[in-house]
Amino acid sequence: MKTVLTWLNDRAGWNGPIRSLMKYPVPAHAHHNPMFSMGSLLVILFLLQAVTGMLMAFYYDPSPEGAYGSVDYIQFTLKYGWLVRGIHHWAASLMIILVVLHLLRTYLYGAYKRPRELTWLFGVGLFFVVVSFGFTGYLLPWDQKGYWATQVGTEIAGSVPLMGDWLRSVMRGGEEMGIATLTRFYATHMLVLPAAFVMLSAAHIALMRRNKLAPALIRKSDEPENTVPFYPTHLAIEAVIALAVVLGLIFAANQFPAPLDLRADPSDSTFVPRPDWYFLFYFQLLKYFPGDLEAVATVLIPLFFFGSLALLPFLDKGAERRPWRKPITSGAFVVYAAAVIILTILGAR
Amino acid sequence: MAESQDSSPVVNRREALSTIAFWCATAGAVGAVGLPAARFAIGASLEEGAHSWVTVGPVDKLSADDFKHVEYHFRATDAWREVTKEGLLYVRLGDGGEAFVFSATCTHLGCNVSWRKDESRFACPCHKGFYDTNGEVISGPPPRPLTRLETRMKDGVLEALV
Repeated sequence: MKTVLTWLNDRAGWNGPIRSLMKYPVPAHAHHNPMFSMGSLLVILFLLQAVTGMLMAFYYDPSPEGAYGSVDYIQFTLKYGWLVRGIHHWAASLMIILVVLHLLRTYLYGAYKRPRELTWLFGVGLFFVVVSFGFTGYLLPWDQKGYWATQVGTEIAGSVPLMGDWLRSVMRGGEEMGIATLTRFYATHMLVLPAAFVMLSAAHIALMRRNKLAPALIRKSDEPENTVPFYPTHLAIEAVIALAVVLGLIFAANQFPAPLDLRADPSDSTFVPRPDWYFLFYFQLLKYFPGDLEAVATVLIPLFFFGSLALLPFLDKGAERRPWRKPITSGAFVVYAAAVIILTILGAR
Repeated sequence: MAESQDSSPVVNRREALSTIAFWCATAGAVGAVGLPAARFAIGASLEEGAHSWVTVGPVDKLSADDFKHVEYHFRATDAWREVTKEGLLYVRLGDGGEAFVFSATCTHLGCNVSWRKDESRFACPCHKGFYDTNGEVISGPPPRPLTRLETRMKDGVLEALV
């Protein structure tokens, strides 16, 4: 074994980079705080989604005629199909929760400030990618929920001034929802977004390593903080958390099977479209901007939200990071969070 | 790592426990998902495919001197879809009046063989395998004779099990 490893190291030179990756010093305040494990957990969840997604792709039929039947086959006929699809379903929701918590932790700790602005920007990009995973994956079973949610979602795109019609047609692959809609959503979900996630994550992690984690908010002394090696000490904790999450997902898949609504029926006038839970707040928000005001909700508010996130490091440039000393950014967080929670509850009724 | 008095490195207990914890947790997570995932990936691939009796034709239309080329199709469930399965077989009457029905699938690598009446043999276009009128291999790479299909009579019509 040692001979093989020596040969590999001689040919590939992997020893140096891998050793530096594994021995990276993790600050003690991050090692002891589970809020700092969410980034790693997101990577693990992505890998889990990639594996379960690839497995389902063995059977998934990306056509309006075959999609529903193939998902039904996966869920109810194939051995452990309920488990593979169940993990994929629940891990998707967990990824949304964790990416929001990870973003909030970074936001509240002021870890977007110099020199970590670029890390933050790549993180905002990753947030957009994770949400897009949810939007594109929802359609794939071609059931009533996915079909009508996408019908509404693409119509929202169609309400953008000047380029709305073009945007809607490009998203649908035509004027109406059909075969081209399903195949491009599938290709985006399976190929484009995973590639984007990998590239953005690699840049995000490389920048995080380069600029190191932001120091603890409260320092007990001026002495340099204790560190632990990434491997095995910090990774051991992350691996145990990951195992707990995997077992939790298996439990969830068993106790709360991934849903499959009735087959999509474009002629049904009785179905009430609803998005998945993480879009309910936006679904509710749209109700307050009817008619000519629609563009406020479909263009201005999303632009403002993502724009303010992206520009945050350049708007809040002061050195102060403690949230109790930053009333504006902390207050904005409370307003955003309250709005999203209240709108979600109203949208769910 | 600290060194003992005889200069060999002493394993840090914390690092040793962390290493064990990491690999045990990783193996647990990979196993919890990996084993059912492997079974899922195999799916129904090892199960027998669909079989059906298909119509070959009226016996009085068959000949002892020549093979009849018969294209068949039948409806079957293929995983999650109802599909039409298609195939080809060859049939002739034997000297005793029994029907010889052969699958057209070459036993080498699965190409369809063609019946050459002038040569009185089946020929596979892929790798030049040849079979005689009893389906036996004459020459070439095929490892086995052509598959002879089970037959039955139904209302005066010959059927074969594909």
